[in-house]
Amino acid sequence: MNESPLGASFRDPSGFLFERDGVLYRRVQRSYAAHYDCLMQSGLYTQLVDAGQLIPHETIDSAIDPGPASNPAPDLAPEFDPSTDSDGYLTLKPERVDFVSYPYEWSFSQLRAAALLTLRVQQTALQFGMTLKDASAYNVQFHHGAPVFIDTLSFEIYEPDSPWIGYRQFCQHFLAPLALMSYCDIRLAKLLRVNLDGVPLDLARKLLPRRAWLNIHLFMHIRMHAGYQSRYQTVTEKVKVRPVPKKSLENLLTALASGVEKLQWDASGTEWADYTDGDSYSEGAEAHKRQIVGDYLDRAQPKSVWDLGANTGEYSRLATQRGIRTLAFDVDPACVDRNYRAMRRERDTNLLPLLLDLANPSPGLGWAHEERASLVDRGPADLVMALALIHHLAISNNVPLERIADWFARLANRLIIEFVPKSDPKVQVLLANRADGFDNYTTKAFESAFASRFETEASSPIPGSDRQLYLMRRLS
Amino acid sequence: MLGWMVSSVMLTADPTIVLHGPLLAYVDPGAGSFLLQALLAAMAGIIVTVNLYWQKIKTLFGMGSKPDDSETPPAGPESRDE
Repeated sequence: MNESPLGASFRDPSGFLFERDGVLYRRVQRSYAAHYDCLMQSGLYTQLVDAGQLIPHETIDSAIDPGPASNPAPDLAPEFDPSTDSDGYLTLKPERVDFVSYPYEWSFSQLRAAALLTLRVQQTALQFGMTLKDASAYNVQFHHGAPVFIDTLSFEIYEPDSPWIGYRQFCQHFLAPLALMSYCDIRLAKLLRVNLDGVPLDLARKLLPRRAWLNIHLFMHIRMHAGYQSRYQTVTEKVKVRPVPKKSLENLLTALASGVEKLQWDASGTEWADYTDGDSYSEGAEAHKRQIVGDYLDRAQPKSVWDLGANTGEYSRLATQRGIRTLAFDVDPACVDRNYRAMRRERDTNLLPLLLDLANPSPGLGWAHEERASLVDRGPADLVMALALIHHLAISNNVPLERIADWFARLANRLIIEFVPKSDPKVQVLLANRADGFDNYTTKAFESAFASRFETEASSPIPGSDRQLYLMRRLS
Repeated sequence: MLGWMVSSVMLTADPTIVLHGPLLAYVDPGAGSFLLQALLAAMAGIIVTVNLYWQKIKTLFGMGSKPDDSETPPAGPESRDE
């Protein structure tokens, strides 16, 4: 039994998340009771949940179910014992998000969708006499194919004429990175990985080009905002703030939403435009590959799939069409963005496209490395698909086959992997401008390297190509 | 752009004007964000209105922005599969 508060859940005194027997709970503290009651009784909770904008929860009890406390596990965290916790008001059981993803793993359109959701939630909250006390991008998750607000304890009773406390955070977590992606370079999204409280506005101001200031929203909410921050950061005495009437605040939110909506990122004209892998198969070979991958999925019956190097998710959809929750990871922001837009149009509720550089995957970040979990800590997946990928890892990134097998064994219980031999045109392209020091890159060496970690359940050559597909199971 | 021009006139106003209103709250080092917000919120109504008319004018001359396909209507419960 593990009941310690989760690593990311300690900043908010209103409550925290904890796990018991693998089930996620949210503790509501007494100090937050009035706000929680307002959320539930005002109709705001129902409105947001019905709109699919807030994660639903069950109320477990008014205190805490001591549960099987008579048999406490020795690793029970000393800092929290729910059965004796007098500060507790309620325990909630939120609907669990399948996979927790982070803003630095989202594409432009995903971050923009999360921004618009946050503003919509704040607008609705104001209508019900409440307000969001923060505007962290980490309060949004992608769940069943759509962004959803997950922090039930972010709502506070609105004090008339008060400013929006989340305004600064909204600009740092959403507006600044979106502007940088849109006006400078899509790769600046990575700033979110090193700045967990969003991109500092003075940095955004330095990086954005002059033409960005022709956009009134960016001029006000980033340039002026950064100026005000620097001007008042050294003020030691407290300053008075003019009241912000509710109508004005609503107008501000409308203007912010309009500013976010106007931001676009179009891959054309950038180095990402030529995103298609230009598969080297003949149409026949591709059809065979789809058939074999489909057969392997039917055989393995996984509950979850991680498609590594998914491109725009063509093969991921073989899994989602079978009702399997699937993450489609790719290193190319254009692919991820295109995939996200497509899955939204298709209303594919099983697919989540995410950005990932396999050679440098998301690490554990924040306080004690625990606030944001590493990729491997969010696994393993029931099944990992690594199609047309291994040559990128072994040749482009110089990773020995044994290390690839070790890494995949940490990520996956099962594996559908495609071996792309040196004779393949794609590998020839990779080798064209480098010394071929890859004598060990052979089918035999691949099978031998993976045999130390996996047993092969099935393998099939892909007719019309030199490639080979394998279905493997991790050795226990 | 029109919104920008109208607003830029207002933005040149002395920001300390926001300090003369009735005392509402004492705020800490994030003061700059709150002070700016108070100013921008006061202006936001004008920006929203001007933008609205600007969009109407653009539409009138066939310059309306094309709809974005990345965010189809938010998925309601009907789109959930479970």
